[in-house]
Amino acid sequence: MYRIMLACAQGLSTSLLVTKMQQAAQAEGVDAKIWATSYLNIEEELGNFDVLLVGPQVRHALDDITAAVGGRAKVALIPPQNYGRCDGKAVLHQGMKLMEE
Amino acid sequence: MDGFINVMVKMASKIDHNKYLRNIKDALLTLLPLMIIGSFTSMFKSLFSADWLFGGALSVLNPLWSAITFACVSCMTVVLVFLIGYLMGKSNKINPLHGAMVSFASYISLVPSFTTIVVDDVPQTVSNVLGSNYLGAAGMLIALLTGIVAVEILTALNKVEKIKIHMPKEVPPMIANSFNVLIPMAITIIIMGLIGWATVAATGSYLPDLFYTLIQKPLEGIAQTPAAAVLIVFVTQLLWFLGIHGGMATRAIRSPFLMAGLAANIAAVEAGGVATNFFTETFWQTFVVFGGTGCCFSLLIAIFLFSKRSDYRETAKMGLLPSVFGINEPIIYGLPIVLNPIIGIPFIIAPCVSTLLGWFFTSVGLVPCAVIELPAGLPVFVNAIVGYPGSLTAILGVAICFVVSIAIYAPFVIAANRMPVETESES
Repeated sequence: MYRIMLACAQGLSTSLLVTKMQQAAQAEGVDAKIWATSYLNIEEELGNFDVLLVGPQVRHALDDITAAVGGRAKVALIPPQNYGRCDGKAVLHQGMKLMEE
Repeated sequence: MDGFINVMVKMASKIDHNKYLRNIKDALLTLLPLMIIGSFTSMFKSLFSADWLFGGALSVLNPLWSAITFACVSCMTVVLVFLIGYLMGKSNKINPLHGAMVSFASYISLVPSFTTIVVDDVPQTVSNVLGSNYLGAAGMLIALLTGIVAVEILTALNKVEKIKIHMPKEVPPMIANSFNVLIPMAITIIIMGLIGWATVAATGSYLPDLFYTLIQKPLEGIAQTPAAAVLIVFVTQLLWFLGIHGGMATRAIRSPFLMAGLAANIAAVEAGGVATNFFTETFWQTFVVFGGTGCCFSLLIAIFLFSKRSDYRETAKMGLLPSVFGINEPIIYGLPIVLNPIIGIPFIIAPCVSTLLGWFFTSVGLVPCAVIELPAGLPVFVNAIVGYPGSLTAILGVAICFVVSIAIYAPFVIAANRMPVETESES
């Protein structure tokens, strides 16, 4: 199963993308658990996710987030274009690819 | 340009990841529900005791509403000092509950445990009480500072081996542990108490009073000027333009003053006076970030009215509903506004103008100063109705800002019609 967590400022705007990603996963028959949280709560979720995708609006915090995760999961930035378009499929594939690397 | 962006990103990162500012921001965010509850009960008191409602019979409930407002707003600093101690303890990887306890005890030890009242023109000292000016917004900054310093001292002492007690192996380890918790805590609280005692001995005034008069009050005065408000809005927008969540990045600096301003407004109204602080979170939500940051609802309307670009119209359509609820990242990254030199200009200007207009409306008395703390995510315009209950002129003020912002966005949206449509940069 793919465990993909998304992080933005408060987990509000990213929850839009989560819904789109869940729909994409269902359409493709992919077994995935996808959810969003605030980037301030990442440490509490450590161990629950294999991939962490960070919203572009908190990219200034990426170094700290990567340090906090400490290699226990793959971390990547969501490309702003995909984020803006709310492209669930593209972001889902980004997460799946990261996990398979 | 790249160099400038890097500097801004680094600055935002520094502010956001400074341990102290981050914990202050988290503490205030955690406190927010109580502020919302207390501001609403304050409104309920005047609402339910009105004569037109059962002839004012419900005024029997007034003590209930007053008690809740007192607990939630007038005692905000007590809650805050717990929260900052807890969060600092968590950051420093010590027991957060110990952090909360030490923070609370340290702050209360700085506060006089008596108050002076005047009875028949004769000042009388009442002992064993806490003055409400130390429990509420006036004590906020010194309480946060005290909590931070106390937990830092406690954390440092926890690492000192020399003050740790080592018992023989036969003694259960819990006994040594209990002393090893006790001693650093005792030293911390005594140090903080000493600072308070020395301040009174040296100046004759208590530290929270001095801090309020010399630091918090002047800062509050500056924060409530239109220039400071516009500066904060400008920096927030500039960060967003660079693709960073400006609202979060400036929150640590903005929130204490917006929240203290609102608490002071509520206190003034509760005391039968008039609220005077215009720059509050409610003002922010209704005048600065309606439809999402950058008066975004106006941008969407301007696009629907004037844009001939199919990509703009599509993005605006997709982003409309989230924007109604104040979420506009789809627009910011989808249009995009980020690093878009044409839409970026009105994106920065419109909320600055709206802030100035809002300030002007409050200064001429058209819009009252808010006494309601708004929950996030109320639809655009509904937040103005809830945030300024019963004030038709406030809604008119917001509507004027909405129209003015459309006018600011319009020429740039029209100019963007002539901009080449960017090809997809990613497959």
